[in-house]
Amino acid sequence: MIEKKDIIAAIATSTVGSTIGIVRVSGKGCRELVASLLNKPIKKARYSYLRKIIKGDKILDEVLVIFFQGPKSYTGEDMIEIHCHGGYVNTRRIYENILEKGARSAHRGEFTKRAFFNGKLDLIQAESINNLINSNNSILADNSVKMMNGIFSRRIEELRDKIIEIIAYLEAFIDFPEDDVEEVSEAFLDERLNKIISDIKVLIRSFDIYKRLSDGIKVAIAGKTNVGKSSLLNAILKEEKAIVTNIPGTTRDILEHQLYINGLNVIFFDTAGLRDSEDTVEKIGIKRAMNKIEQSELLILMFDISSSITEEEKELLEKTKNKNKIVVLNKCDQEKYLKDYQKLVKDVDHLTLSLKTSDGFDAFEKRLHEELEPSNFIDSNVEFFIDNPRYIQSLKNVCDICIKIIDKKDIPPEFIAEDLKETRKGLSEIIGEVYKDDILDKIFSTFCIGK
Amino acid sequence: MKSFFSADVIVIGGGHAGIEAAYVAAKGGAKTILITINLDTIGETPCNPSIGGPGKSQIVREIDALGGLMPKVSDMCAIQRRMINTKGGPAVHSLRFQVDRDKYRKTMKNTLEKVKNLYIKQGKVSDLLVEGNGIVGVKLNTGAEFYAENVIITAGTFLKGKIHIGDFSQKAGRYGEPGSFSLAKAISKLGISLNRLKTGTTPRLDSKTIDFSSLREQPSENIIHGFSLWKTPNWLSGRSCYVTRTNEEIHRIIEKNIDRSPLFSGKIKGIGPRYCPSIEDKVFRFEKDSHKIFLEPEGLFTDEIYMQGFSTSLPEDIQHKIIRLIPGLENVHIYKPGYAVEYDCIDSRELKKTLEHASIKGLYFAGQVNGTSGYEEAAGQGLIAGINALMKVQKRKEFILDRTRSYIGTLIDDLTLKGTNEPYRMFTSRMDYRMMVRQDNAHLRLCEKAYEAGVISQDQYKEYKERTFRISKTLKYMEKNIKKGKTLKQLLKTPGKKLEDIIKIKDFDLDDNDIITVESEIKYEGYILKLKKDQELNKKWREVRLPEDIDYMDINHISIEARQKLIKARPDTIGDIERIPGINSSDITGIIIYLRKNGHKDIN
Repeated sequence: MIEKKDIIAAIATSTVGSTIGIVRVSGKGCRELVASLLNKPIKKARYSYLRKIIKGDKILDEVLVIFFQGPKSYTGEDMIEIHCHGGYVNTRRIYENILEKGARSAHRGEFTKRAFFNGKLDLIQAESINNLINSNNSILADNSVKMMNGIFSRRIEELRDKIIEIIAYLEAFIDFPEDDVEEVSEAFLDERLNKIISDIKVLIRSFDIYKRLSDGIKVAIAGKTNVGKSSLLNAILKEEKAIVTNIPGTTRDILEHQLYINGLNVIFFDTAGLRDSEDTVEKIGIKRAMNKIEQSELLILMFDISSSITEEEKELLEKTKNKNKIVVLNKCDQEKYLKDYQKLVKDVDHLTLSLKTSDGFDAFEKRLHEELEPSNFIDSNVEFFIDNPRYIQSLKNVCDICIKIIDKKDIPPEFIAEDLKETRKGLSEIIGEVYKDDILDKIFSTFCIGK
Repeated sequence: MKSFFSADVIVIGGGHAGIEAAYVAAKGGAKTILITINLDTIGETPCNPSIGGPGKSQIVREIDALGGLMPKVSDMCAIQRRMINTKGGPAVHSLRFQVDRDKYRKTMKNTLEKVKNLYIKQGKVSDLLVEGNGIVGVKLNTGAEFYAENVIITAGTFLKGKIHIGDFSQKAGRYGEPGSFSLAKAISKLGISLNRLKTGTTPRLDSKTIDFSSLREQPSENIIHGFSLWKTPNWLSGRSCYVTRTNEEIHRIIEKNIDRSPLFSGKIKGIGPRYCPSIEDKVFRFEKDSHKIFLEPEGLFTDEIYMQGFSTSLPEDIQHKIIRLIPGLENVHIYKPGYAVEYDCIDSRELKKTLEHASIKGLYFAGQVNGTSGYEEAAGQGLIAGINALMKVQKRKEFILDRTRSYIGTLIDDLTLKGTNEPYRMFTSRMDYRMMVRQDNAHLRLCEKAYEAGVISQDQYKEYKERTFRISKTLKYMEKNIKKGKTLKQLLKTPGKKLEDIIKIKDFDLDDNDIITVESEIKYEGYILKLKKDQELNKKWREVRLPEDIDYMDINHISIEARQKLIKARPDTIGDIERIPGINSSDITGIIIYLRKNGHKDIN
């Protein structure tokens, strides 16, 4: 996998349809390799040079070339970026010429891997880059950038420092029994550990945000049969995915539709029409619909004002009274029972619309966008959220050990120190670091020691 | 001048490292010469005559298990005996003795004099004789030459030693003793790099001028087992220590005169130990109104009192002024002022784990010259260097202690892999497996290996076997027998329960140390199992030996800095790499990938 003088190359941009293409080359000797394709040499690092790519006596392209001298480069080794004209054929043939000169095509993620191996990134940062590239909405992407910049690594280091500080107190007491080092009291331990536990819990909880965002925000659409749920959904999706029909009860099961709104991944559930039914299949469907309504984060509750209010509708309104929802009075083009419904929903904020004429749809859409503001789902106090289950497991272990220490009473300091060393190891593993001689440094800087 | 003597092993220096090295080599059958500047300072304790303490008592017990001298002689000379750290469990209990300085010295010298094969010689080594890449002997400043293919240097603080008291400084290894300048030169001539360190000691006081009546007394305790478990000790009469404190007035005077301290005026360049700061350091670095001082007797036939906690290199007039402000010392007379000493030490990363120099065959270094501090650390290294020289003479395999199974192993592993930029002292917190590696079980851990190397006798081995048998028999009994629905083992795990509450000690013939071992093994069981699992877990990787000719510069997927550190530390195994400062797990991954790529047989 790793070879001596191994130079790797890859096309960094999409090869289809882009006007500019970038080819990256990394590894010792890449400067000479690329220079052998150019009309003039590359003089200094970090300057961009306008050069011609020459093959034989033919000019292939006019390009901008930037040389990054390791370790000051993304991978930490010598690197070249060639900015050429885009398009599949052009980018590709420049890339192939580089391969011909002795570079090999990079494996997936190999540039980042090299950056990690060369100490340019810690494990979290490397994983975050991967998350950034793969993130499917802008909030996840923003978060990956924060993680990449080390915000989480720093938080873990802070936690580790707090643990090291407690260990230092314990070890100082153990190793300097005749100095003026005070015994570590249970109150002191409990206070410090509780702070650590609550910090970790915040981190663990932040993972829920990630799950919510990556799984999608759930929006359920409910109402009695034939109220126009599928039509509304179609209007939202602006494409015919759900079956729109006038026969009551066709949407017995739950259909899911994914959509990006405000950068959020949103999943719409079209639920079965709710009515008291004797049909077994339909009964199951209704039960599941109620479940889905409960699990959803936003409910769109629809009423058909062209027919009279049913018991089920009253019941549904009652059952969902605490739910975050948008109430829609549909079919306002046939406003037979408008007054009755308005009375029914008088305490609830509601909209009237007609899916047939599209009257009121814009207002509905505006309201939908307001309800799906990212700030409604992400606590503004949260600077970032954890986006990798690997960290959660380690953090939970650390948390459990801290709780265990608090629960135990009257135990000698070396037991507590041993447990805490375990937590320190757990935290170090998250950032991919191994043991360092950090406890003694802390002891010496904190205590006046020495007989 | 032509040589009149050749031997198997030459030891330079008669301090704690030199004593153990010479003793074990000679006892094992190697013809050994110990060369010292002064016969009468063999076994000198230039700082306080105290042996043991946290991290150190464990080393002394290990020396005992390996057949060394320090434990036996300490027991014979102890005048204050205490078990400290008893607020913690047995893993951190530490024996600490004050010994009678004169008696210790005389006992050491006389013990060595009686050893067959050991020849003590007063003289000063001025040059090292090297042929090719191996040592062949030493030359004295008189011109006499002594030949041996194994030379152990235990120069203590003598290499380019220089002492400081205020503005006064003088070339000296210790106060009143000459330093070794030509030897330092001979060492650097071999291409061995030298660093500068600093340490210090306290003033010595005249006991008849001290008013002890106002001070807190710390009496000697009733201790059953000494450092040596081979022999029931015959204790000398006990002496007390006394505790007093500095005060703010003293601190103000120190602050006012700080520019007269060579530590602060920039005169001293060597790096001192952080755990043993001078009183000037303490006042400057820590906001405290008062610092503790122990007044310790130096022997039964002397009135000299050591001022533990008051190491200083302030000028004598200031020393005099501030000491007289300490409660109990209002009218004190100072026998000897405190002083700082600067000295050269080698970069211990140049040594192999046998303490042999990596590029000069047969040349060993042990003790303070390797950058450590403390008599115990020095003795432990001396013993290992001595055993390895002996092994070489007898053409047997290297003697290396595992860091996970001994304090001495940890000490040498740290020195050879990490090196040190301050005088290195052992602490229990340096031990990765503290619950398993304790002072009570040193014999259980090391005697098998000691016997294999031939450094303990047949009788001692038998005694060790009996000890192992008694303990394992008790442990088994406690696991199998049930009382009140619980095994005896479970009962002992209850906090506060002692072994004597559960079984009749007599029936199992356990001595006091065995009781501690049984209690520890049971009370720490959960942790011990976890540590053992951890040992096993990464064994597969950790024990993979690195090729001797590995070219770190060739591994281009780890940082240049990491490559340079690896070249300096010369790790033997992948496990070693983990402990090199500044090397992270991605570097280790990089090395593993490189080794696999290059067809290492143990990695697939």
